[in-house]
Amino acid sequence: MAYNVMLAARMLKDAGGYPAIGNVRKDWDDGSKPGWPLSGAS
Amino acid sequence: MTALSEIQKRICDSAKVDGSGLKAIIVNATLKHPSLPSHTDTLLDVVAEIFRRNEVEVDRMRLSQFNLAPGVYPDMTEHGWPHDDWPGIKDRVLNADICILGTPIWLGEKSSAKRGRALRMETARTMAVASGSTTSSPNATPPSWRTMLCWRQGC
Repeated sequence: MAYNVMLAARMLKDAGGYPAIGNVRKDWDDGSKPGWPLSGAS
Repeated sequence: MTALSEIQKRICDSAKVDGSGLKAIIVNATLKHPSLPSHTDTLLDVVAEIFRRNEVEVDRMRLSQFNLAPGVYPDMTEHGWPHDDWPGIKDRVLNADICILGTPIWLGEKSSAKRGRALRMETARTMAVASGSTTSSPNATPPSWRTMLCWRQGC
């Protein structure tokens, strides 16, 4: 398991994390709805 | 003295991972007083040694050392509690790439220290994502807590 977390952390760090789309509250508050036509237009 | 057995050392030598630049926080949720030895620590020693051998920077923390107020906000002294150690240690947790939670189990249950504090840490992480305060890029997860694992020990 120590190796599992090291390898996963390495991949995620190198990739700059995984996309947070849909998980950012202030984006929702700003009107951004992932998958909607105006998504990210705020 | 190393925490690893001969077989574990051989595995480490033959299976190198490039952990350079990665930071790990290893949290022990034992109920033991900080001055007393903890069996959970002996298990976490192995994890820490494997991490170090692969160039991961390791930080250790025992929850019983701190007075963490119950609650879900970054500083619970703003919400009625007279004292809260969490603001002083949260950066050590949130800046880590890997978070290991080690807890004893009694009758199949995690330690009460871990139950309450894990919630605290999880809400801190969630709030960091929500506020974007620790994100390096607005579309990425914060640099912290990308990998989380719970380690359990029987006694």
